[in-house]
Amino acid sequence: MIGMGEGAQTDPAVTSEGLWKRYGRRRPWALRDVTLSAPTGSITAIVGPNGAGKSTLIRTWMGFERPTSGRVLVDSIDPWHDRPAALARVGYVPQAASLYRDLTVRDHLELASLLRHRFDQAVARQHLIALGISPRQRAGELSGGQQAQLGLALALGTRAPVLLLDEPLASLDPLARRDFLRILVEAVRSEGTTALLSSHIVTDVQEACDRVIVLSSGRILLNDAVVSAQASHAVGLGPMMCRAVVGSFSGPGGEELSLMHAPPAGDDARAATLEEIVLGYLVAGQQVESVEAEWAA
Amino acid sequence: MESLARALQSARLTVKMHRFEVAAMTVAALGVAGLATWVKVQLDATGATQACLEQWLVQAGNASEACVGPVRRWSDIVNGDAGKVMGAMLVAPFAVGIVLGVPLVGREIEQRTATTAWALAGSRKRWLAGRVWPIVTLAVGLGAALAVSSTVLSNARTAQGLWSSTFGDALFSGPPVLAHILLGLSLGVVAGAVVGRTLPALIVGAVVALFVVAVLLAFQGSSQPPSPYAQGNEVDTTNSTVDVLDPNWDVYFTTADGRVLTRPEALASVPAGTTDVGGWLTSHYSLLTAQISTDLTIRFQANEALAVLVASGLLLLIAFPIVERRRPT
Repeated sequence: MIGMGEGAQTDPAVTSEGLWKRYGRRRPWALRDVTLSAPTGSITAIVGPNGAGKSTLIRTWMGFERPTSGRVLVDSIDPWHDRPAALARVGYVPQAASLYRDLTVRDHLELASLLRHRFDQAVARQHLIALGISPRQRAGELSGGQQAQLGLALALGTRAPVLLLDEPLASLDPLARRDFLRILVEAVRSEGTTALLSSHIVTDVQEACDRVIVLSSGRILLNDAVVSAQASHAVGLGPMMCRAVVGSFSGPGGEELSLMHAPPAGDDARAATLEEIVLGYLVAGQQVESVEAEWAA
Repeated sequence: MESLARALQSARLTVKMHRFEVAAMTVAALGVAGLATWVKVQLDATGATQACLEQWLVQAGNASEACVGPVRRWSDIVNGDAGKVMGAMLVAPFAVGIVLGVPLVGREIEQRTATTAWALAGSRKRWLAGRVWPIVTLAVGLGAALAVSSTVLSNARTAQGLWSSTFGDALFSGPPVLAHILLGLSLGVVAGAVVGRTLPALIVGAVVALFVVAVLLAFQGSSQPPSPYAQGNEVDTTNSTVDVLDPNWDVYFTTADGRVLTRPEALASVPAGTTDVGGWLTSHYSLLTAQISTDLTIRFQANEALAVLVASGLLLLIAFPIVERRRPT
């Protein structure tokens, strides 16, 4: 892992307590009883397939979505009740590069200074200089990677104690992803910031994060430190018939693998990678869903 | 000083973000104002003086040779280009206001830039205020240009109320034009904030504006006195041979002692052998045209503009809680 933090504090910077959310009475639940907390100074990956509720969860912390029930807190502040105070503690990188196409990079920094009193242009500028992004370039002329970096620079310039990143890597090439994550990790570690990063691709984030949350159909399937998750899960070849099996899935060569919630032991089990852990939990989640759907029918 | 610098910086960025609408609507508004001025210049160039027009009216078209040609050319422009430009004065302010207003919030939501802006700005109210004031300032400037040019053209094409009533142009000229651009702007901002998409919001804004125009025209119609001569007791007909003055095309005169004369009566009083009949009549009597007084038009315009300005302000205030509660996408 890149720059894995030492001695991260354990006070939660963001929390979610019994959070339920749906976008209309007839619509399915986007979030179901989500309870979690992200310790201060940690980088947490929220992983799940499209439609899992990752963006909804992050947007609820931003005060963009009102919880149907339950509540979320940012630095002990409920963003729905005191959005200005909550947002003052958050730097946000939205899903798509939501930049003003006709404004230059410099204009974006000026705009951020106007909107956020304590915006530190120097921090953002330093970040952009390191990447060789010209202040005169219009946002519409930047590559996808550069747009994402500008979005990150705007979030870092807020010097907020919490960074929420909503699938910022989705449209980036592998090199741009790596650059993005490297800079994010450096910034987070140097400032002691708490970051939550959503992605539907595990390999994107496993290098950068020290905690992982697996979300599927609005439910939390796994919420653990990466090290702890890897230590407590093993993968066995072929179908396993024991109570510790979380889920079975196909490996890269088409072989059937089983994820077990047990430390690796014996010849038929090895340590699970983070990707295998996530896959196992997602398969298990799908099985639960299909059973629920049958009962509902 | 610092807050002024920030305000100017905010205005610069707002104009830059909306530069297409700002440029297009500035050209459109100044273009219409320029057209009005050009038509006014064309009217002046016909050589139809106020005296000529008065003579034409007094003698029911039998004006002197020197006046006939200019008055006919003048009348052609009044019924042609001037009418079209004055018609544009009703539509243009709403169109300019809506096109300037819709993208302020609507396009930010549509293009997802609201997500970035609202995440950075703790207070969305402050964000909206920062976006709105530069565009309102621009709209006031454009509205003033339209208001002045429309008033100049209206005065020219009605010959200061002599040829036709200025009341007919009451919604097309002066302060109402300025008020309409601000109402259009407020409508655009609210439509953009509610709909969250530029084109649908423009359509919604246009439909609502059409309804508002229909209401305003109906209001103007109901504010017009039933007969142009029945405005209070401005015209005393007690010593006249007529009880009710014909509101249609006709000319009356008032004598020095306040009696009202019909045109045949006035013509009968002209001494035999007088060559300049029109000149004699206008020097001995006051011409009383069948028009609503300009004072009434000004009062109507002031009241209408004030009511529309209050409505615009309230509408703009409604946009703030909408933006405050709205999703950014």
